[in-house]
Amino acid sequence: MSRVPGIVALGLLAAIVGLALVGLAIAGGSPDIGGSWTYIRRLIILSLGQAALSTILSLTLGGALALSLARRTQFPGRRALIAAMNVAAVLPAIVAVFAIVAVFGRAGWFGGIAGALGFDFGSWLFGLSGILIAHVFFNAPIAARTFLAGLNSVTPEYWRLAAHLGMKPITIFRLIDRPVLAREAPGVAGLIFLLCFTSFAVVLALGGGPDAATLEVAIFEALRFEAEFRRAAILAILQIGICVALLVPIMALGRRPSETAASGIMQDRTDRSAALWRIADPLVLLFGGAFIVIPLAAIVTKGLADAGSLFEPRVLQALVTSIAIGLPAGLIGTAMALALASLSRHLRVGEGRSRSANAVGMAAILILVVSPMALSAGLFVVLRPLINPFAVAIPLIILVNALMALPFAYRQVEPPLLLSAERYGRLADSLGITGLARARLVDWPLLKRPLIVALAVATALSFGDLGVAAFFSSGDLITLPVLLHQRLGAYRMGEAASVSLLLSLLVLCLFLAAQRWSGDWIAHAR
Amino acid sequence: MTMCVSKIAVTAGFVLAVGVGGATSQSDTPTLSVYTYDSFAGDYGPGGTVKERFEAVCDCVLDWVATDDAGTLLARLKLEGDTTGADVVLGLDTNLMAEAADSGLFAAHNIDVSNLDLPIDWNDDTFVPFDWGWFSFVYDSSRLAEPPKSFAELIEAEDGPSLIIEDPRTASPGLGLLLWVREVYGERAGEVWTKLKPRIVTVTRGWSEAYGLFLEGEADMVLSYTTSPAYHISVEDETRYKAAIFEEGHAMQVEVGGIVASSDNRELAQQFLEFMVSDAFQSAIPEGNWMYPARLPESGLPDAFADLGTPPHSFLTPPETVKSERRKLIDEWLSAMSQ
Repeated sequence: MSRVPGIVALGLLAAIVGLALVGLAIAGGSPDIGGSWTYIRRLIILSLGQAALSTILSLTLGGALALSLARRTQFPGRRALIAAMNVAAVLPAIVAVFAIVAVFGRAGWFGGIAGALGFDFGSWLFGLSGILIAHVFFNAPIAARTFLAGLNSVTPEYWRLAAHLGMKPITIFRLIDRPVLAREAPGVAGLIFLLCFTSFAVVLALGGGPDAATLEVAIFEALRFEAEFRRAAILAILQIGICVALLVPIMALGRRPSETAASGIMQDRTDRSAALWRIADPLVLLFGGAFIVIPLAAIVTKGLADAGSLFEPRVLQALVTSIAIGLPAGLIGTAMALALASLSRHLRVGEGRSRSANAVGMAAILILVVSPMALSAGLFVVLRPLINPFAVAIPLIILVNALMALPFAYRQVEPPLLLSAERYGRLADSLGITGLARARLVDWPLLKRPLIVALAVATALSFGDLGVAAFFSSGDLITLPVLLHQRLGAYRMGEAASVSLLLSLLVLCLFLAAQRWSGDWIAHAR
Repeated sequence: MTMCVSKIAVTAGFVLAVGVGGATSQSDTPTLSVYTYDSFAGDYGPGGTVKERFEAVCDCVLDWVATDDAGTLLARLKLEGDTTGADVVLGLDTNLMAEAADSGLFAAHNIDVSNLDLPIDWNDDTFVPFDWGWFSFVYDSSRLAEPPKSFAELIEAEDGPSLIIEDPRTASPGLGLLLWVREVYGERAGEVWTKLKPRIVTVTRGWSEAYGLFLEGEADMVLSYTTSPAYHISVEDETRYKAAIFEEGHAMQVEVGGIVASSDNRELAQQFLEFMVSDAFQSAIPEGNWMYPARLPESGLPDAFADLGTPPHSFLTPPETVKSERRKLIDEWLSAMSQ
């Protein structure tokens, strides 16, 4: 695949972000950071701490789940568990907050059980613990997905060797699994860190106090309460700067051990019957899985209570609108992710410029750091003299949703693309396979399933996304999240819960369809 | 795959065409473009009723242009400047009024506001109130038998009720609470926050999260409006939610509308503003927006509003004071809450 699509995608990213920031900067308002630098500095330090902790915990749980899932390939409910994990990762923040509170809160299920046993833990959930629980709920699935894909694409040669040598389970972990985790960790850690650093509604709802805020709060305040656009621009740039500074060392940690070409002869993992894992895996799957699945169950029970309110024409309209926006956004986002991933691969493998490749990887996920509100406001300023913003609302929302989904799709397609080049690149070169044939014969087998998952993830994220429309919508564009917020704001909490249920079911169907279309991508690395 | 892509392309094209087509208005009847916030114009607010009733008398088309909330409303307006397409802006509150007035985008309203039914006198020339309410802490009477009867009682009771409040940086009730404390306690506000802090369960981004968490039972009281119980009484037949009335008095939120100076439909806008304080509009407010109407409708208030409780005093911080004191109040609150 040539470099051109990647460069175009990169250019588009840079142009949109740049335009938005310029728009904010010229929109007026005072540039001074209102309160004080101490306040901002404090926000930054606290966000960094919380994000770092969340990332470590997510990677740990994600890694444990991935290893257990890699070893246990056939147990009842495996597909459902994986689908549930995927759903958890793409839920709108407010849906997840209510679900987590419904399970862990003082008046939730665990609170009720504890109360029956005579314990009263009070409102322990609201504070750092609540933030960590929510962040791990969202991000451990992302880590697990990435790690599992990596574990499943280990060259079969390694398993043959492990079998011949009679490797002990611990040795297998040390020599085969751990390097895979170490290879994939920096990339996914960067993504998770950004998500937690810019997390907004979760931190404010579960944080317990204003201390637990992120820089996003300051940006939100500047944009919506004070209409101080220059300040918002400065804070947004500050946020980008900090994240770039942090991501560079994280990305640089990625060591890529050299890959052996696979012979294509299948060999399965040899450590499934190890006593240690036969005890540990079910425990991990049980507790880790329960952590993810139980809040989802809460969404179902709360949503069913008022399910009747789903049979209204406006719900159908919202559903159709969500799909009409989500699908194109998912496609565009995935296409751009592919373009960027092949550019990155070309730089790393073809030209040996791994720092540039890292930079492309960073650019792909950096859009998460640009607050969607700031993006929306800035673009509004820039586009308004040229065209009626309401007329371009739909294409713009699709485009920005695609950009917001891009990082997730990128983290799905980059590893297999890179792996196929490392593993088969020289072989393909020596056989003279290039161009479309190369894409079809060499890349596609490793890429097929992750690509379908990437498409599902990107689309699911676009179903749930909300922040972008702020300045462009005239209120006519009712998607499922908009309907959710309308009901929440009108005292109709029960009806809002049923919309959450519908949204979750929609996303679940999407992931199940993706699994079916791609074949069971977990069981065997074929 | 190609079939799929072309189907999607057709759908997207269709959606785009409909969007663009919808954006162009009918050319014969004039269109009045009213900027407001989402919960007013949406299906669950009074927007639909108001539109119907106004179009019946004005020989025009009323076009609601809705943003997320009042803050975004003002931000968008400022971004648009005097090339804005808005004719009327409805839904700013008194905390945003000073900034709105400073923008120079609004014209004098020329309406007689001397006989409105607000607990305070209204004498602003640019903005006209259309609804109002008192902030208060709402509780579940089946869980909290003896609610505090005064702010002092709430603050001093060390094992008193637990609270959920909204963040003053991101939500108007949050800011309302800060102003309320300022009105009652003046310079001693810092002490108030220090005493309240242990009982504050969480500080949420918006009213929905706070109220939702309260309904789930996560705290004994939530910062909302005295009119919140009316929703439960009227729609759910549920009488256990009540608003605690404090003897020191309550802070108000007043929502206003104003005419945009650069509008091409000044006469129509003026007509709308007069309609806004007329019975046809005001009667849609109580059970549409769950607030008190600025002018009592002829049929009076609905039954659900009968037992809501009335504070003995009402505070409304002047808009200019809000503008100048806001930063300081928030910083004070932040430092007290971070101890």
